[in-house]
Amino acid sequence: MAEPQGIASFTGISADDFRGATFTRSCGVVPDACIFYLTPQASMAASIGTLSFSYDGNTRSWTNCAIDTAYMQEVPLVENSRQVVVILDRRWRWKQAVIEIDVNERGADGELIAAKKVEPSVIANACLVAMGETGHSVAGMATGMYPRFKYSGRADKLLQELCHITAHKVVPAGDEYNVVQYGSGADLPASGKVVLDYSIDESATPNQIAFVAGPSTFQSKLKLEAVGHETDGSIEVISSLSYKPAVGWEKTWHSNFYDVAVADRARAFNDIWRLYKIKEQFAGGLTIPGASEVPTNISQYLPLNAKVNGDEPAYAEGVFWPESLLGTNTPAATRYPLDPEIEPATGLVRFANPVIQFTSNKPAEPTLGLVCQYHLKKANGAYDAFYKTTSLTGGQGTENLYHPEVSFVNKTFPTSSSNTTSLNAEADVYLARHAAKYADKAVKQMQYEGYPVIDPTGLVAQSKLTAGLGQLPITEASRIKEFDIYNPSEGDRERRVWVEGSR
Amino acid sequence: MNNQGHLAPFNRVPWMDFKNTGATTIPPHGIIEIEESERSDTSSIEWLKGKRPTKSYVRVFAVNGPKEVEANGYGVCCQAGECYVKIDTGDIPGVGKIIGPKKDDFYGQMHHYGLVVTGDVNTSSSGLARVRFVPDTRNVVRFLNTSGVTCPFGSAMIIDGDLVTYLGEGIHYRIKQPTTDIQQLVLINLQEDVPDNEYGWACWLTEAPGWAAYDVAGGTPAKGNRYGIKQGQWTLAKNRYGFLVQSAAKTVNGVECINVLQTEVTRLRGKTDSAITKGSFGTVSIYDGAEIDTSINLTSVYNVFADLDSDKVVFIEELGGRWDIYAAEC
Repeated sequence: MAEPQGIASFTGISADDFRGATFTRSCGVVPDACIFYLTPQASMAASIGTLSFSYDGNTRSWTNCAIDTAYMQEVPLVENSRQVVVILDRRWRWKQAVIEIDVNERGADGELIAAKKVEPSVIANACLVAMGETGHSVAGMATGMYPRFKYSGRADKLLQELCHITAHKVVPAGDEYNVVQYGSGADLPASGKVVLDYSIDESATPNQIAFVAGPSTFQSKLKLEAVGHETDGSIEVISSLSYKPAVGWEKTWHSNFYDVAVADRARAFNDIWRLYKIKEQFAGGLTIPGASEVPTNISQYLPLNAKVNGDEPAYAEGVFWPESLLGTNTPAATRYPLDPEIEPATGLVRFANPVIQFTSNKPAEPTLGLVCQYHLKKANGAYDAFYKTTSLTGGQGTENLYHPEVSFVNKTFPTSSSNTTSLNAEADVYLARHAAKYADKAVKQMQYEGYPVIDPTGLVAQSKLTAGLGQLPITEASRIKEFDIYNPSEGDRERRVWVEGSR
Repeated sequence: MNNQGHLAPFNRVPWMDFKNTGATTIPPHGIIEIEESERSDTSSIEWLKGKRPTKSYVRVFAVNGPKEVEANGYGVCCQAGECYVKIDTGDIPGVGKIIGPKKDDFYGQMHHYGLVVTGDVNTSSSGLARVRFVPDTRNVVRFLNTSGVTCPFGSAMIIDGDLVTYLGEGIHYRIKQPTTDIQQLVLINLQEDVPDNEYGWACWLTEAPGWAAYDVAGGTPAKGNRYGIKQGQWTLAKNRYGFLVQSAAKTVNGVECINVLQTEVTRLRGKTDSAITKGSFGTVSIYDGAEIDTSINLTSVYNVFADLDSDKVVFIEELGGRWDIYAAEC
C-alpha cells in the first residue's frame, strides 16, 4: 500500500495532473514560491487562484496566488517529463502598491511634532492597506520608536525598511500577513519528529548594539570679538591689524577713518566694527553644556547653524550704542535690531552697520554675543552625537543603529531645554527590540506529519509544506534560523526589494 | 535679513565729517565753530574744520556728535535737524528757549542764537538738551570796525560811509562809535570785543529784540523804557530815542545788557533853544515823554511855518534827511 500523500491544488489545475508540490513559508515582503509539479499541460485555465495543501481532511489554503513561471523538467527513471509551475503567494502584488507618507518629523527642539507623531504600527498598517491587505494584524508591534519617513514609493519597500529599522518581522499567518516582534508568538509545537535541535553561540553576532543619533545640536550665546581682514587676507582682532591708526580705533570715527592710511581705508570701512568672530561661550571658556567632551579650539564649533530654535535667524545681543543721538549704550542683553549675516564655515558675523559701544566718550568694542545653534566636532573629527549601547551575550563587535533623524538638542540660551528624556526613552526601545534578535539562539528544526498550522512567527523562522512526490506529506519548520537552502535567503530577499525599489 | 526693529535716529541726522583744528578736545555734543571745509586731494573726501567757538556769535557753527574729538582728530557734527547739545547747568534753558554758541566754551548758552530747545533737558552734571537748529532770520550784517578802538559786545554802532565789498568778506558796513545823539537805525554788535580794523557781525534788532549794552549810570532799566545812542560811548543811554526795552536787564557775555527792539526815530518832542524865524534853521533841545530835557540838542532844525520864540515846545519830524518843525507852541 502506497504511503498516503498530501495533495496540493491550484485553481484550474486538475487533480489528476498533480504530481507534487513544495511550499516554503518565509518572513518578509517577498512572496514565497510554491513549486508545483504536474503533468505537462497545453495551457493553464487561470493564472491567479487559490493554492491549497490537503491531507487527512485537513486543508490549508492561500488565496490570490499567482503563477509566476512554468517550465518543463526532465525526470529520468521516474517519468519522462513533468511541468513545473512556480506559484507565488499573494505578496506577488505587493510591489505594485505605492504609498506617500510624511511622519515623525522633529522640531527644532529635537522633540517630535505632535501632529506627525505615529507609532510603527500605524506605518505598517498603512503599507499593508495600500498593498490590498485587509485581514492583517499589527497589534503585536512595539511602541515608542518613531522613525522618520518622508517617502513616496513602493509600499513593500517601506514596510521592509520599517521592519529593518524597528526590528520587526512580516510573517505569513494562515492566509494573512502580520507584523510581529522578534521573539514573540508561537514556538514550534513540541509534538513532532525532531530533525535538528541545537543551540549555538554564533560568532557572527555582535556583542553590543549601539544607538547612534545624528550630530547633537547645542544652542547658547557665544561671545563675539571684533576682527578685520589683514592685508594678506587673514582674520585678526582689530587691535592687531597692521593698519590700525596710531591714535587707535577708539579715536577714529567709522564714517571717515581719516586716521587710517588711504591704501587701507577701504579695508577699514569694510570690516572695522562690522566684522566679528565667535570667540568662546559668552560666560567664558569653550565648554559646551551637554557635550561629551570639551573642545580645545573654537573651530570645533564650526560650521555654525545660522538659526535658533530651528527656524528663526540667529541674532546678536549685548551692550552697544543703539545709534541714538546720545552716546549712551543699551542695557545689557539688548537684542541688536538687525540680524547679522553669518558665515557658518568660519564663524564670522557681519553687521550691516558699524556696531560699537561708547566708553569714556569714545567708541569701543561692544559686548556682544551671538545666539545660535552649532554642533561639536570632536578631537577625532567626528561630530558629538548621542550614543547609547546595550550589551549582548557572546559575539563580537557592535551593531550600530544609525538614526540621523534623531539628535540630542540641548539649549541653554535664551531658555534651557533638552530632549534627553525622550531621546533616552526612544533609544532604549530601539536597543531592546534589536537585542531581541539575538536573545534566543536555540536553533531547532522539526518535521510534522500533514499540514498543521505552523507558520513563521517571532520565534519560528520558516516552514515548508511538501505534498506528493512519492513521500509522506510533511510540514517541516525551524526556529530562529531558516533551514531551506533552496529558498533565497532572508538577506537575498531583502536585497532584491532594495534594488527593485530603488528604480 | 530680518529686521527686528528700527535703529534709533542717529542715521536720520545729516552728519558731516569734521576735523578738530583747535587745541582743545571737543566734548560730545559740544558746539563747534566751523572755519571752512577741506578736501583731501588724495582720497577725494571732504571734511569741515572746526574748533571751540572763539566768538559768541558764530555765523556758521555745528554740534559735535556723541564722540569726543581730540585736537587734530576727526569726528562727525551736524548743522541741521535735531541733536543733543551741552548746556550751561548754571543757567538751564527751558523748552522753546533759544541758545547758541559762547566764546571759549562748548556749551549752548542762553541769550545766544542758533538753536531752540525742543525737550529732554537734562540738568545733571552731563547737562544736555535736545535742540533743533533754527535759522537766524534776523537781519544780520557784516561790519568792519573803523572806530579806532575795540568794539565790545552789545555796542551801538553808527555806520560810517557806504556799504563796501571786499573780496573774501562780502558786503559789509564800516562802523564807528556814535558821534551824534540821534541816528536813524544803528547796528548792535553781536560779538565780543571786535578790535579796530577787524570784522564782526551785527544786527539791526528791528525784526526781533536782542541784547544791547546799556549805560548803568542811568539807573535800572525797566520794560517800556526808551534808550538811545549817546555820542562818545558804545552803550545806550536812558531817556533817549531809538530803542524800546523789552525785558529786565541781564549780564550777557560779561556785559550789562538790556533786551531791546529798535524803532526808527522819525518824530521827536523838544523846545527851541533860541528864536527860529520862518524859513531858517535853529537848534531844538530834545525832551522825553515826561517832558524832561534829554540833553540832546538837534541843530539844523528847519522852521517851515512861522517865526518861533525861544523855549517854545515844538514837534519835529525827519523828512528826506532834514528835521522839520511840524507843530509848535504859539
